[in-house]
Amino acid sequence: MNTTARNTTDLESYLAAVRANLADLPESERDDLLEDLEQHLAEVAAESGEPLSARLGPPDAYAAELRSSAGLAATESVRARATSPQRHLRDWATAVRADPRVENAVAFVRELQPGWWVLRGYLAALIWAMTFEPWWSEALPFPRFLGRRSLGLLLAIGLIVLSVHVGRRARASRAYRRLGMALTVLVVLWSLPALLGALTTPHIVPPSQFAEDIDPFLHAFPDGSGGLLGTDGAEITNLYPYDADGEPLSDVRLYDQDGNPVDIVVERTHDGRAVVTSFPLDEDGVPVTNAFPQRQAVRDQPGWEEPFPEPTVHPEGPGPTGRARIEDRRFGERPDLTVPPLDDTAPKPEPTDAGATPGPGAAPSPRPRPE
Amino acid sequence: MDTTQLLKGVLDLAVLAVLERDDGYGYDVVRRLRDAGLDEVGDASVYGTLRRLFHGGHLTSYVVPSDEGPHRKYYGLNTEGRALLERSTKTWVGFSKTLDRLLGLDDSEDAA
Repeated sequence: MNTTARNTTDLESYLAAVRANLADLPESERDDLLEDLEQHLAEVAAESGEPLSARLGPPDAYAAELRSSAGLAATESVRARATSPQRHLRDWATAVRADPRVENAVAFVRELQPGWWVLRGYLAALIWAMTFEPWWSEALPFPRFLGRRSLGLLLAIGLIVLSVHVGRRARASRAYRRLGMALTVLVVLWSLPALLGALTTPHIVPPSQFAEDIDPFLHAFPDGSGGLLGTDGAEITNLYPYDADGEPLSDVRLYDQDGNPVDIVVERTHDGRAVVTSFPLDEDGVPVTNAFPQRQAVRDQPGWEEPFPEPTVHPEGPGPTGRARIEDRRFGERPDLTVPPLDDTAPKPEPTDAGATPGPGAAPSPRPRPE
Repeated sequence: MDTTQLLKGVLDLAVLAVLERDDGYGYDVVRRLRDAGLDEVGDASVYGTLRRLFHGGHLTSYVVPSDEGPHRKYYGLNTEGRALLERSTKTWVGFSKTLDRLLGLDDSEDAA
């Protein structure tokens, strides 16, 4: 409607003029006073087509009346006589704000605001990852979303746009300002402790020398240990499968009789040193802990970040019992082992006569045998 | 004699009296005051008075959605508001009696 549109602009300009006349009041006081003045004036305006200034008088007179009836001082100098502690504090705050150095600092922080908005959106995306994504800290600085870094990047971009939007609106709207501050506090309190924890615990190691088709990462476990036990009761820290031709296999995924992954996670060596394992990741970015042999290293061994031991086959064949001679090798290194090929013509070997293959003969004693 | 000057002193009382009968939103209070005969009551004065009384803890306030237009903020008296109304009424009655006596008016007459 034509009249409605005219009324609206009339209302807005009137309101703006009243607001301008109260500009000397502290912001909170003014916002509070004007909180529902717009609604109030809209009621007045709705009653007739007359411009507001014709019905209510000029805006400055209206503002003056508002001021005196609401018990607010007419001018800055009169206001100074008030002596309540809050007033003192407020005056003091106003004085501090007026200090040029403080003004400069505030202006500087204001200019940095957009950067902070971006950071806020990014941290919000990280919060998602921290809360719902397994192994989120491995993906840093990317936030992981639904297991993927690329989706996480999209999420972060979306949240950054949202955060910037809120920030821009906050400059004009009090409700948005409150929303923005609440978001900021929430994001900081929620994300920073976990983020600092993840960054200061150095369990993330850059991927080094693994095949490019698997996305490797390294993880050290701070304490504890979990693995299989051999028949002699000693912990089995790794498994080295060989095929029928005696060729070593890699990334063989093992499952037990119930279909559960045999996921050895070795966290300590026998003498208590921290073990780092590099697991390949599955499609969802979750580490595959039942792929053997595992790539392991001792954390405090010199150069542990770099050379994860490559398999070497001992030229002289296995030791007298077919067992690996492990005394001299580094932890996580493939045992020197030559595995003779199976006899094609012979019937399928029983597990017990496979002395040359380390796998089946060393089945875990605490677990039920398939048979 | 300028009634707007008189009104300033008693606007609180008038607003409290109006709200005693019924809760109301800002413009509604203005209208009811005018309907009661206080033609000179200023819109801004009523609005400011409502805000001040509300901040002084004498009024409750609640928002009522309206079918057309924005939500309306209604004000009503709380216990403190009622107590203030009672005190102010006593003050006013005493004051007006004094003035009546001073003017030699035994019956109360409508000054407006």
